[in-house]
Amino acid sequence: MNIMKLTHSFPCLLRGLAILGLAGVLTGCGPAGSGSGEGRESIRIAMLPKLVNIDYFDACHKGAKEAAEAVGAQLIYDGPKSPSGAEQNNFIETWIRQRVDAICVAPNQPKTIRRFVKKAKSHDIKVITWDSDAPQSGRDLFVNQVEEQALGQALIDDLAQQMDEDGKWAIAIASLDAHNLNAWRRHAIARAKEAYPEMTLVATEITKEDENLARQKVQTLLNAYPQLEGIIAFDSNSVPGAAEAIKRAGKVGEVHLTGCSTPKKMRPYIEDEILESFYLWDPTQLGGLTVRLAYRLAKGKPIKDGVEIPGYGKLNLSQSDPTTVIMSEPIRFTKENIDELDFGI
Amino acid sequence: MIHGRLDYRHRRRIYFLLAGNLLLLGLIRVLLKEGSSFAEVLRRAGPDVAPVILAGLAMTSVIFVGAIDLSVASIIAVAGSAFGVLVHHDQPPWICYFACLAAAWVLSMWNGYLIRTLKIPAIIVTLAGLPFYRGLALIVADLGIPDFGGNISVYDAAYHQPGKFYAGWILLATIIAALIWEAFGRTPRQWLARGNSEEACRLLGMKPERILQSAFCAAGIFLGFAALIAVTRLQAIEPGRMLVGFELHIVGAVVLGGTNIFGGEGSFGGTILGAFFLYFISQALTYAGASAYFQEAITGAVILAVIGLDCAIHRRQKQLDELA
Repeated sequence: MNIMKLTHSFPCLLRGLAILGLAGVLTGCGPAGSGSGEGRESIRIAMLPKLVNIDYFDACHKGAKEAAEAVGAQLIYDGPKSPSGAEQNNFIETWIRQRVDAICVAPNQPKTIRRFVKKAKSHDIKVITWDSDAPQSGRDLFVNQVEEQALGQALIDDLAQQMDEDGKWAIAIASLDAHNLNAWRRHAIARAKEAYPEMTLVATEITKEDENLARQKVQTLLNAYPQLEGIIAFDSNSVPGAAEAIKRAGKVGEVHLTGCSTPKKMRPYIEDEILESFYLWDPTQLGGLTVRLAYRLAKGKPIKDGVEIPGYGKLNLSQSDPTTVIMSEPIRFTKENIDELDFGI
Repeated sequence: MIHGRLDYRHRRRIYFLLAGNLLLLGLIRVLLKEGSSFAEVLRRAGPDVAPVILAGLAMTSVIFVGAIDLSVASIIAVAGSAFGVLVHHDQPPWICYFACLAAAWVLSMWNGYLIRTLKIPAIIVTLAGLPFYRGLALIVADLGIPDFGGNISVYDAAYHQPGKFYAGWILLATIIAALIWEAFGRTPRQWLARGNSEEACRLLGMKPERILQSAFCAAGIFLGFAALIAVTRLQAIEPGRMLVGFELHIVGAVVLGGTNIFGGEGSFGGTILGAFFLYFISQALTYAGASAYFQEAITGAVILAVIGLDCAIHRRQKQLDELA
C-alpha cells in the first residue's frame, strides 16, 4: 500500500465518515435497538454501578446478566472508572436519549441525580436505585442489599461484643457522601450511643476506597490513640487496610476490627485471626434482583410485599419505606464459614 | 553544590518547606498522647510517602525539560497488572519485580518517544495516555488471568518484600542517588536548560530531543521503583482503579516543592520536602483529632498559606533589594 496515497485519502475518509455519522444522527438511525421504547418487543434495562472494574460490581454485573437472559431483557451495563457522580450523570443522560425502558443506578452522589431522574420519568423511563439510594431523587424503587439499620447495628453489636462493651473505637470509611456507607455509619453510631454508653467514638477517617491509604490512616490512628480497642471499616478496601495496619502495629487481639468487605480480600486476614468477622451479602443476587424488578416495573407489574420473584423468593419491602426492597439479612463471615460462603469475589 | 544552581527564590522555598516540615513534626510531637510513639511517626514517614516521592522525582525530571506526565498513575497500573499476572502464574518474586520495573520504564520511554517524534505537547500525549494505559492494564490482566474479576489477589508474603519491608531503604538509596546526580551530574542541568529554552539549547549545539528522551528515561526508572513499592504492599491489585487521582497529588508535591510547572527551574530536594509536607499535614490533622469533614479543606488552606507567605516575603525582599 502506498503510504502517501493513504495519507492523502485519510482526511477524505474522515470527512466521509463524519457526513455519514451526522446523517445518522439527524435521521435517527443507529445501532439496532437504539430507537424509541415504543414498538419494541424486548425491554431494555440500563444498569449503572458506582464504578466499573471492581470485583464487587463485576459480581453484580454477572447476576444482572443472568437475570436479563432469563427474563429475555436487553441489558446495558456501563459506568465510570472512578466513583464520580458527574460521570454517572453523563451515562444517565445518554440512556435517556436512547429511550431505554429502565435505568438502574447505584448513585455516587445521590443529590446530583435528582434532575436526571425527573427527566427520565418525563420520558416514561423507570428509575431504580440499587446498592446505594437517592431517597430525595424521586426514583421509583430502591433495591437495598440489606436493611441499613440492621447492618449498622449488626456491625456495632459485633464490635461491642468483642470489646466487652467498653473502650475507645474509631471508624474508617471510603467517603462521607456515599449514601449506603453513611447510613450504616449513622445507625452504628446511634446504636453505640444508645446501647453501649461505655464505648467512645474517638475518630472517623476517610480512606477514599484506597487500601493503602486505609492502612496508613489506621496505623496513624493506632499511634494517636494508644487505648483504641475497636475499629469499624465500612467499605471493601478499608477493612483489609485496617487489618494490615493492626498486623503491622503488632496489636492483633488488642484492637478488634469488623466491617464490610469481600471474602477474596479478607481471606488471609481472617485465616490469620487478625479479625474475627466481617459482613457482606450476595452481590450476584443483588444484580439479579435489580434487573428482575426493573423488568417488572417496565412491564407495568406491581412491586408488592410477598410477591414471588423467580430465583429469589418472596419480596420483602421495608416497613418504613414501601418503595424500598430489602434483599437479605447481612451475612457474617468468619474463619469457619468463609469457604462455604465464598461468592467468587 | 545544589545551592550553586538554585536561585534565591527557590532556595527560600526549600528553607520554608524544611521549616514547615519541622514545625509539623513539632506539632505532632506536642499532640501525642501518653503511650503514643514519636519514633513510630518518624519510622513510618519514609515508607508511607515513598511512592509519592519516587513518582514525584519522575514528574520533576520531566517537568525540568518543560514536559509533564499525567499518565504516571496509569503506568503504575500497567506495572501492577504485569506484576499481578506473573504472581498469578507462580513466577518467582524477582521475575515479577523485574517485570514491574520494566513495564514502568518502557511506558515512560514510550511517552518520551511519542512526544519527541510526533512533536505533540507532552500534556496532550500523556493525557491520552492516562485512559489508554489504564485500559492496557485491564487488557493485560484480562488476557493474563482466566476469569479476571477486577482484582488480582497477592497473598504470599514473598511477593510483598519491597513494599512492606524495604520501602524506606529503597527510598533512601534513590533519594541519595538523585541528589548526588542533581548536584554533580551534567544531565539534570541539561534538562533545566531545555526547559528554559529549547531553541537556545539547539543553538548551543545540544540535542533537545535527546535531552527530552533522557528525562523520560530517568523518570521511567523512578516510576519503576514507585510502582514496585505501590503494588507490593497491596493484598489485591485493582488495575482499573488503583491510584486513581494519584497524578494530581504528585503534581501538588512537585509544585509545592518550588519546581516551575513550565520547566527550567526546580529541584529534586524541593519535591521531596513538598511530598513530606503534604504527608505531615495529613498526619498532624489526624493526631489533632480534626473532623473528617474539615481535613481536606484545612490541607488546601495550609498549602495556599505556605505558598502565599513565601511569595509575599519574596516580593518584599525584591522591593528591598531594588531600593538598596
